[in-house]
Amino acid sequence: MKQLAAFILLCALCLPAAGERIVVGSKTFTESYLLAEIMSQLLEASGYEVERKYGFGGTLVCYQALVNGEIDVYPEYTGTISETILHLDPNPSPAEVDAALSAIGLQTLTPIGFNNTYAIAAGPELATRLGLQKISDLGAHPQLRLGFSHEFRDRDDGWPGLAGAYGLNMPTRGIEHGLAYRAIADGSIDITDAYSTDGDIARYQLVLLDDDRQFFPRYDALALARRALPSVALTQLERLAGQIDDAKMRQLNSSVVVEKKDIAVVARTFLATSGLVENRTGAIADNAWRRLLRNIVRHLQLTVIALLLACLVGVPVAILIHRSTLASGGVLYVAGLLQTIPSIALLALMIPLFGVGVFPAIIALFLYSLLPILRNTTTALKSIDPVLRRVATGMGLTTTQQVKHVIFPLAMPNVLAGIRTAAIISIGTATLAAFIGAGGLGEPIVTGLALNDTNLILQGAIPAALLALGTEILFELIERRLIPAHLR
Amino acid sequence: MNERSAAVVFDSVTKSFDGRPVISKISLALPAQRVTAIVGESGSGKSTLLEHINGLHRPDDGTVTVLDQRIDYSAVSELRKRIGYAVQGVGLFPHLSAGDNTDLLAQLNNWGPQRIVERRQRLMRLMELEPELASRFPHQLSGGQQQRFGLCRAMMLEPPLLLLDEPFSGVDPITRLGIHREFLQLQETEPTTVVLVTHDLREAQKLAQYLVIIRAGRIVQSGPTAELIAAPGDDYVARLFREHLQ
Repeated sequence: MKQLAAFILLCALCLPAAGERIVVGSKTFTESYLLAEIMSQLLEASGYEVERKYGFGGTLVCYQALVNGEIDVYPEYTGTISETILHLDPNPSPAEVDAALSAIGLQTLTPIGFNNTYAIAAGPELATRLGLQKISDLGAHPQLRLGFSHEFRDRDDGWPGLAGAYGLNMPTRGIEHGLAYRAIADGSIDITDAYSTDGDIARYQLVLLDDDRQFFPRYDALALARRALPSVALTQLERLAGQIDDAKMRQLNSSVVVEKKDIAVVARTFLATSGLVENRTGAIADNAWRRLLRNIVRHLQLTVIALLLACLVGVPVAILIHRSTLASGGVLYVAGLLQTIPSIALLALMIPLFGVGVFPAIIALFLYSLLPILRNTTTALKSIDPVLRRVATGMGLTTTQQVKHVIFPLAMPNVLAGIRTAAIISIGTATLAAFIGAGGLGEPIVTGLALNDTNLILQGAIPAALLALGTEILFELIERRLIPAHLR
Repeated sequence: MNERSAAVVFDSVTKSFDGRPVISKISLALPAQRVTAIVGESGSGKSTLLEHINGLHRPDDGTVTVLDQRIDYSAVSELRKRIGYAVQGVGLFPHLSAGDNTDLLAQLNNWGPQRIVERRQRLMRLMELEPELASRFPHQLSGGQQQRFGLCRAMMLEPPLLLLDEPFSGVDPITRLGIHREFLQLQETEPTTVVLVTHDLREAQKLAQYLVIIRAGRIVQSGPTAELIAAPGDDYVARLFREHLQ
């Protein structure tokens, strides 16, 4: 009964609180975080409570979150909206885009001012040596090593389209965008995709090749929002229209990436200097602690709920199947198969089924936790000495009494070990849940990876490691408490 | 012996496992207030026969009557509470102390704490177990001590019927003689119907007043121990006595 109450309580904790709250999302690159933070602070300045759900792994995940109402608004680009999201013909009319968006309850606001289009970048030395100036120059150098971000390699308006338009056919490999410039600097790749407002371009002195066949569509940055957003909030966000040009955006990005300034600080300074929000000196440091606490709580929610569900399903199922070799073989095989799916793939598989956010993350963690619990419980039950079972029956213990006084205590060490393994796996895997917008300690890790910010990565990695250690210790204590020394 | 004084009656009991007959058409009446030894070689079906008495097996054919009642397999737990049971390898639960093993059934039957302690201490005295051994876990006891606790546990509820499946094997001969002595002592103080399965004819001769010889799932001969030894029914029994009792 008590466990059930605790479980319901935990579920309740997952539900969002009611109120005038706006959820702002972002993708996993500096500019997206920065624009999202600017929007958040702008909304806060007009009295809204803002929840920041940054770092959705990829356009479709972020967009899906918006459609599902997990977030209310996030910064997006016109080219991405028409090509990747709506699959419209190149350069559609604004009316066409608007009609398609309003059909799914979304709208765009006026562009913010800059055009962050894709660009193809080469290292300075290489560009000089080979005389690379335009994208069409690449055709003469099939030996070049091309490393593109994963999204760029797949998008119709990315490499596949570009290669077609310019008649290029050299092989490419995928590389995390945050690492690509460094890879160019240390010479492990020659060419990569870049964003034209990227703060790193100046730092690495990259040469942006001219799109001489005008392949890339425009990527004007703007807010993509739910139509249901309150009109006051929309008016407030409209104030960003035309406020940031290409040079300004490059400079803002550079403050974060090169000067290592805190995103919240850069956003605040921008809003103050451009007169959009009056300057206030707030306690940004407080924010960090609150964020850490929120991430830990969310991380625990994810793992504890998934673990409880896995226990509630795994233990009874193991009890049902352990006597039949066929059934236990089959069930364990399926659970084992689930376990072999890489965690990031399993999380991605959840998106079409359950969307993004906490729920699909819990389902994925639950599936991962199932195998160790099922396997250990089945093994535990199978390995109970048949003599003890026969004696328990022969003594006249009822089935319930046998389970309670003999089978359960004897199976306990193994069952607990399984739950312990599942808990540790869950805590580790839950850091990946940030990719589908479930939050938790993965959020600073994902953000830190995107921003190349070691501090931020550690803000997620250290608590996650401590959480895993703490869990080990907790289970150690539980085992000491429940199991006599010689059976441990 | 007439059936009024029989504690256990088999009537034409047959049992097969996976189509292989283990005991065939066994009819047998075991005397109340006596020790009966079922003797046979490994695989003769003697344990299976014993496990029909507390309903661990249900006959394919025939009936088993225990303590004047046909076994009701839907309420067999009730019957088992009136039957003490101890097996080879003892079967003490490793997660409970020896004392808790002994007390378990009494606790589940809602005996008061005082009654439980008094009963356990009395049994331990009879089995010559030091009081402090009760707090030890089974693995902290010698084989002989474990077997003695196994008997205490089986006797805890003062059952009118006690089933022992080779409970004295697996310990050294000296310890074994000691346990025999205590068993007889217990039997003298609290006379109970005992059915003892053993492959050791000497043990059977020493402890049992009634003997059942089983071979390949069939009863070869049964009757008071002294009568059987004096007049073996066939060559097999005669050879058995000759080889094992001399």
